[in-house]
Amino acid sequence: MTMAVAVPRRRGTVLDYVASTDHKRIGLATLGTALTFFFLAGALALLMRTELAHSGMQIVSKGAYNELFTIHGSTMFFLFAAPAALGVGIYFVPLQIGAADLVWPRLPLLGYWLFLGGGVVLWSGFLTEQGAADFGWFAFYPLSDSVNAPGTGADFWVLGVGLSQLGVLLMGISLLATIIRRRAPGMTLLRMPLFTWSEVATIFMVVTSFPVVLVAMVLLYVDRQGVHIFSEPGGAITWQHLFWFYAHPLVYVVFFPLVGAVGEVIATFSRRRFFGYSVTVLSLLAFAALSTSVWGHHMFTTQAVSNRFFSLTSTAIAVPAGIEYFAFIATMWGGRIRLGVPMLFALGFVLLFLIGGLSGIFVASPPLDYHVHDSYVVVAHFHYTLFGGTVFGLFTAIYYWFPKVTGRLLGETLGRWHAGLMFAGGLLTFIPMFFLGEEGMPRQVADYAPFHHWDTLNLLATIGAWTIFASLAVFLVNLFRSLLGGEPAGRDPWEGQTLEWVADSPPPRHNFDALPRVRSYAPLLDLRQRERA
Amino acid sequence: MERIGDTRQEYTHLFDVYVPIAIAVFVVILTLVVFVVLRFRSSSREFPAGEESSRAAEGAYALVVGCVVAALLFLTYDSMSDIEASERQARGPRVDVTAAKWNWTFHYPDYGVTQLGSDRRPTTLVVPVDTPVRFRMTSIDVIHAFWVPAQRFKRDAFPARTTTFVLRFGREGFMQRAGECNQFCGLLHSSMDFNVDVVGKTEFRRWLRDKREAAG
Repeated sequence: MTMAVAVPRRRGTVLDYVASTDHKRIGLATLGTALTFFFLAGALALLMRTELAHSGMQIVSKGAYNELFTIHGSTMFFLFAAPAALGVGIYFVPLQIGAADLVWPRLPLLGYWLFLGGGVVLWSGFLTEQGAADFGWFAFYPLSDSVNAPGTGADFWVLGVGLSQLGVLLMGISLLATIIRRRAPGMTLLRMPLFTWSEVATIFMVVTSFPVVLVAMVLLYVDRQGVHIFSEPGGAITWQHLFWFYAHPLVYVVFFPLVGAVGEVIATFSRRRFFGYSVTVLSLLAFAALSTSVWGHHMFTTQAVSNRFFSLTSTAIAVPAGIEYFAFIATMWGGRIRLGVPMLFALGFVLLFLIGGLSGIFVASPPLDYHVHDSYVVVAHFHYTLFGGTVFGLFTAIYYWFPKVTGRLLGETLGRWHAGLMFAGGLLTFIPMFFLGEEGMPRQVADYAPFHHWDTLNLLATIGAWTIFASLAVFLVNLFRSLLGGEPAGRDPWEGQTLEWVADSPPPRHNFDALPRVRSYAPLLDLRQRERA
Repeated sequence: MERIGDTRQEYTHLFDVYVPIAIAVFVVILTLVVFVVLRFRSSSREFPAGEESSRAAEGAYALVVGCVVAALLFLTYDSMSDIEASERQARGPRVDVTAAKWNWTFHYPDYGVTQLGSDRRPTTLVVPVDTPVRFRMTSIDVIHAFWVPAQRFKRDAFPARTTTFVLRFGREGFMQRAGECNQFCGLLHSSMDFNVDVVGKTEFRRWLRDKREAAG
């Protein structure tokens, strides 16, 4: 490998930053913006949990509470999780496949600005006279029509969702084209890193389902202007079909890339090749294929869909998901495991996401769903997939790749505190919700009657939420300490297996000066094993 | 023969299979993860060679998961058939439910009796004990959902659409706010409850007669 010739870096102008087509800048901007929205939506969750700590209304009004959970859910999905899932790929997939840049780089750049603009529009609903949208993140018609939700904040919601999801779609298209056309010599499809494959499966879901949400938002916007679209008979059901056809693949989109990232962290920290690579790739693709035929399980209680069909497809998800778990454990088996901070988060992902997956099989059975649908059981279930999956997965990725992005390591001790507190908080917040839901507490309620005796369980959940807040405060301290003076990381602090660890940290504009030969999905592990042999 | 409309029993039967399996799977994987981490934790800098995949193990494993999925689906489908059959076989009294922002109306079409409430005073649903009651439901504004947690059952109420279900209430007694709206429906959604009063069969007939006479 040759060393890069030192080129003096020109100080970037503002225009360089806002108009750069460097995938690393777009990816970092997307991740930074998404994380900002994550903290904003988390603050809304803290307000909600504090309100729910005791029965009776204490800190917000019922109307304000309805805005809080609507914008919390909408922000977490549309403005945090989906952009973050693609943003990690925009940054790291070109590095993993040995590319210098993206194909059609202006598309994701436009995508980023649409996402940011959509987010700002959605949140500016809080500044309008009637407040932000307050019809829940799925905006069921006719609660979202111009009669029931006349405010400007509701229009901003429709606009913001449409713009931001169009942005995510554009990022996905560019990334898929890059994967198809810009792979390093020797990198056949079945030599792509697992994370890159998980982005491929993710983008398949994005290009299938995201156009549908764009259509749905345009139709809802037009309907809200007084044109009869969803107000025709059957319109309420049609809205649910359109929305969930997008939103169920969406909930897989937001954790899928992180399954790949977690898999790579497990392999790297076990110092082994990922076990069952090709079967895992196949299961990711099967999972993605099934994702577009499970949306009706959100409609079991409507009497408008074939419950047997959607129960079959939704339960069958357990097979590809089970294969991924098999591969995780088999990779660790016989390895030389180091419990670095990325590995701790990866193990947290494996255990917490498992709770989400197992409870998912439960709610996929219609007679069980007839009780727990839209109850706190479902709130607990999907928070284990989103918090256990997306959030733990994203922090796995952040601790793993932060050294590549900044050239510095995040602190080990603070990282352990972050992981431990967040894991404890994740259990304490969401486990009580299973019991609350089973006992009959509905979701999306600002209050509950004292005679139910739900106060203790709710208080536990609230303490858990503040524990998560504390863990995130530790993360922010860790982040700023490392940015200001963290330990230099070098190119490859973890002895990684994939091509991004060949590049400098941070990588230069063109990423690579030279690439090793790619003979498998773990090219750097090949090199090391040959050196030692 | 299942008891017609006993949704609580259907739920409990499935719950007693699904939840122990889920807990067992969680415990097995938790144990494996803890074992693997303890057993293979090492500061060694070597890169162990080993199997990269095992089609036989993966295939056998996928087959086992597939069989569990098939068994669970079989039980689920069986339970669904019971619930659907109850709709065809039920011969009990009929109740027409109308949901509105933010209260419930229960109308007994065969007797001309109507139970009303308001946003502040929950409506009371009066039903005979141990009888499959036939419900037809609609909404006058947005989507609501009828949920009685004690029955382990809910169904959505749509504007301009009718949904149906059958429930058998097992125990006599007045249950305050035992029914809830379970589909977010706006400002006062969280207090859109109804009471459920399960009465004896003769008492139910007497109650209907008294109500009808009172209405004139």
